[in-house]
Amino acid sequence: MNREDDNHKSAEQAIRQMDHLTEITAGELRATLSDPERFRACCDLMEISRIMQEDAAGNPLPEVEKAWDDFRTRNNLSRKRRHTLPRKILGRIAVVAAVVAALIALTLRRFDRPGTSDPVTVFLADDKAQQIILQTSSGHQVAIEEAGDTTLTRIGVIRQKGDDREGAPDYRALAAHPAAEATEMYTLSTPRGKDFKMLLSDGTEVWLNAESRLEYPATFSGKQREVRLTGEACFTVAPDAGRPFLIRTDHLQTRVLGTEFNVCSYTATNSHVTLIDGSVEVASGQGTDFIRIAPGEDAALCDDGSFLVREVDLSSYIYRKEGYFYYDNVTLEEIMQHLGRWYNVTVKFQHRDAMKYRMHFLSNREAGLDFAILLLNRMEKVSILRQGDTLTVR
Amino acid sequence: MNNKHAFESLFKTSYTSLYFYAFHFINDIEASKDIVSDAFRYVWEHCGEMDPEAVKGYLYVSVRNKCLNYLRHQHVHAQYIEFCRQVSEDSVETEYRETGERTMRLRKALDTLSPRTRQILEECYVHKKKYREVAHEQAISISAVRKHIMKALRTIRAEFAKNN
Repeated sequence: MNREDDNHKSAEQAIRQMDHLTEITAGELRATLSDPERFRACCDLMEISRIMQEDAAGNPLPEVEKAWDDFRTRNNLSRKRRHTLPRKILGRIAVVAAVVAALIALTLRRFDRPGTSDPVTVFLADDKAQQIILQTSSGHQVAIEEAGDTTLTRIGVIRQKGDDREGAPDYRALAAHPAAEATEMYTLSTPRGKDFKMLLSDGTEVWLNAESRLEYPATFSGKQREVRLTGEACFTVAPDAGRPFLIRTDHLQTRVLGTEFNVCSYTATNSHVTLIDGSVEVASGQGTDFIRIAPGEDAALCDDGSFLVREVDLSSYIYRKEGYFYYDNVTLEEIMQHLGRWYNVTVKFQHRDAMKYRMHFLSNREAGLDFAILLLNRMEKVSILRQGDTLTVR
Repeated sequence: MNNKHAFESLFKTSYTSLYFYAFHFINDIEASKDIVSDAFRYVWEHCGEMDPEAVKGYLYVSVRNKCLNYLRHQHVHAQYIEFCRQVSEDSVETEYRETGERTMRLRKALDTLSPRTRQILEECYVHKKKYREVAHEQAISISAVRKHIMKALRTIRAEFAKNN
């Protein structure tokens, strides 16, 4: 038998087995895989079958327009949702909310000037004193970590024992003093590299991330519990069905309904609310229409004050709260800005294309900046050089 | 793929082919639609920086993998799944990443077949009839059915033998 006959035989076998392909035997499979000619014939027949199915008259074509509409609806893609919502407030044992509003001006971003090789600064270090400050309505400022208990009591707060269970970070916790003036408004601000945990008068627990500011009353009065945030924070909201908890940022309002969620309000053009579990409503800074989002959904603020809602990966929000930097498929630019803010260092990109690299990165914040740089460099995609308080990505 | 319009146009131009790509493995209309939508959803969420051509290749790889998973969950005959995995491995990497040139040439070659051969192929591979059934309906022998298929196979081989 010559080669052509062999090939013909292989093709014949392929054709025969196409007749009962879904019940192909182990022997036939083995024979197919060990005979390149038979294997090729199978590939070709599968392709013929695919093309004929696609072209066959009378074979129903999928309705692409309908598929697109379904897809958009299901993924909340470019759908600007505005609706009236049931005003049902849920009460649950622990409601965790994280609110993020970054201060960094992303205006420092791209100066896309082709032809120049000046590094782009994506984050600037701050040389102000790095202290956690509590300010009262009268403008009195106290550096929390250095203040004695008497000073704190005088301004209406008490220090709580840090939470050091199971190796959790020992936050320098703060609670409202029962004797505080009910109308007193406090502003707590954290510097870069320091976070803080506190209890509000209603029992709501707040974890305030670095470079953030929370304005809150000594006692909540009125129909809703309202706080104002700049930066990033996690809220474990005490349930109170009669008084929803409202978190305002410059760009966003988030109403807690019994929920675990995360609000990320960078600049107005980069403001997000991400729901981890439960139920939450969001509105733009001045908006009166709240929209409700479902767990796993992220609402991004659009220019016109409406929201673009879609599904996201929640891991990074959860990890961040637990003391980690966690990024999955995030641009190096964003990762470096976060590192810059946490460790208060300036970040420059000499290698501009690298700003767009998407990376997976996990590092323990406690391990320090050098460790984070070591991990990033180990990926061998970029080389990050640290010179004092400046990082350069090359 | 950050651009909504680019994404929408990719969706609309690739959906049908991806659907049939899924369908020819799993033979289930609804599951094929779901698989294709899932693949697009992932692209929308994760492939912000990829250019549309690369995304297209990715979509095929993704649909193919989802089909294999689907078959596994359906407890389909393991040898069939392995067969699908093997035959789709090559093509998914090369062909679909390109512009679909191979598909175009295959289509052209299939157009040159006689209406009779086409009809028999359709009965077997589109309507999923057994060779025996088709032979009976067409009043020909089973080996005649196989010969028509062999003709199709030869035709497309000849088409690719031309320049390769």
